[in-house]
Amino acid sequence: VRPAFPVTLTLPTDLGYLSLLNAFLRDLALRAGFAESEAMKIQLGAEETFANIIEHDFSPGAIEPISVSWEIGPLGATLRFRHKGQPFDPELFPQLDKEELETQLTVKGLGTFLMKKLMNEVQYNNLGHAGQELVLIKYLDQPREVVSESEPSEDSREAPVQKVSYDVRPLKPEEGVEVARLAYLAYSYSYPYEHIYFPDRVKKLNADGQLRSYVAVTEGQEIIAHSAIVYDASWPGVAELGVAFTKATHRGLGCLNALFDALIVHAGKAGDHGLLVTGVTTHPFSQKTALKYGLKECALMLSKTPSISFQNIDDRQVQRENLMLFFRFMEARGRVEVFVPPHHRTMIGRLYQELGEELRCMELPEPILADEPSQLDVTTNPGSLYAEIKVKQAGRRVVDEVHLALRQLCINRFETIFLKLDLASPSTALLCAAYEKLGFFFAGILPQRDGHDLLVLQYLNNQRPDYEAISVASDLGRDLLAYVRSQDASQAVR
Amino acid sequence: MTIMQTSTIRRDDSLVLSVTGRLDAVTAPELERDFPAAAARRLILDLSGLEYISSAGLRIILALVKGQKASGGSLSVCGLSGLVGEVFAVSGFDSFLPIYPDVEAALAASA
Repeated sequence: VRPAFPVTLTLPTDLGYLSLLNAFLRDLALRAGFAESEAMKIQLGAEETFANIIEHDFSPGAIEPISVSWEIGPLGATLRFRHKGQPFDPELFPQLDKEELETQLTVKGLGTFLMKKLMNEVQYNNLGHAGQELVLIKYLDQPREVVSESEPSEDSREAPVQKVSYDVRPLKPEEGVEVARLAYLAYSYSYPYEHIYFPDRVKKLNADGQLRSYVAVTEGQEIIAHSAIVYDASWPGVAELGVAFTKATHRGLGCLNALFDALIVHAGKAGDHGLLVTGVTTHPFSQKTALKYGLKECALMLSKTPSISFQNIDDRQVQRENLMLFFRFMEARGRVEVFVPPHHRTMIGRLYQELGEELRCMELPEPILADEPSQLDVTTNPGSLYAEIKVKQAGRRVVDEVHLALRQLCINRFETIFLKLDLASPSTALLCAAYEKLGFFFAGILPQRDGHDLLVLQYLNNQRPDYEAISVASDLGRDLLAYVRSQDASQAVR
Repeated sequence: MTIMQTSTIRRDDSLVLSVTGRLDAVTAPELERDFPAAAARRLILDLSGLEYISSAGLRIILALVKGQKASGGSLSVCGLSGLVGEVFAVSGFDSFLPIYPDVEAALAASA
């Protein structure tokens, strides 16, 4: 009998379960028509995989699940090992060196070497938030083909380190896996910037200039902390500082401060016009860091990402994450002329004042709505279940058109929809109240290099945020939180 | 599933260590614990009853080789067949270890 679905066994990360794994696979292999000798090779490939995962991908003594699934097809069997151990880069695995084995009697990468020799195909798949997957394929009655891959590391476990000196420098291309592991150690697989879990993406994004990673490195070349500038094409010239992780064993050494210092110098040399920090509100730590570097709150974006898990920080977060945005001009503009909705004039004026800018509210001209059709940019983030509508040009029916886009996004179950309005456009001041009648309410402002600063409104799709659980780190943060809450209609019917 | 079993026979100044069953990540540490290095000047590993060996088993054999070498002794292997023989061949262990068809041949070579 060849079942049409995968047969799955979930085992703890404990070698004591190896005999159970062997019995499981032997039985399935013989049922599928493999000879006893081939069934043993499958067991060997599985043993090497199971042992490698336990030894290299989890902390010693950790008991976590490893899912092993067996699927038989016309050509042979596919064996998948899935787990949520730390990320790895298979390109960095050591190769078996037979000359070293023969002359020095030392060996590295032997297990993976055997696995690849005795199976027909071996694949490593990084599943992002879903963890890691290793796939072994064995053909039925086919000549054996060997896929040459690199070998897994057999290096020793990391040991806790006390006070150490370190240098800060840009990330090297081959170090992407170290960054992925730092993210994993700090956030498991819940960090919203998912690219960070893919070593190849970290390498490419840095090469393309969309990410500027810096790392703190000990004299022993151990990477103990990472932070980066993320450049968002939709917000040109703004260097978002973040993606910051420090090994738990090296916290308190000031690594992140040193990394931020280096990144701000980099932003200055790159000609960036502003710095951005997105602070979580589960705890105030990242917000305090932003304030320390002179950034000020400019927007509170509610329910923007799924809840984030902080390893070693007892946050007990259950609701989606609310993010406080902090901004600082690299070079102050001095005075800004914008069309501010009258009912938000006080709050928006306060935000600009804190950013060091004098606000001049412009008078509305006539006529202010273009005869031509509106232009809306709608972008979605299915991973985090939020969407954005940007009004690039407001025609006479723009409110209806925004309403239509909003309805469609709600039907598609996006949790939060942000509306971005150009403060250099008179239509923003004129129509803000109409947008708010659709259910949008105030979030904040986003300064732009070209002077077209954005007013951000937000719409919560059948959510009622727990404002009491939002942590802020300054008087301005408290005032902004209170203002946003006062604008949220769901609070009025509480 | 067959577990690992061991037995020893002393022949002249050689110790023949017979290993049967499976030498894997679970049973290999038992072999290392039971047979520390330098148990005899000439150690012959009879693997004719061994059905299965993984990298964990090979590492233990490598440790025995090192131990014998450090104490001025020797280690040879005999009775390889099936998967065990294939694993020795693909890993290159057959290139630096003296391999013999059976115990008698190994004893004759070490005499």
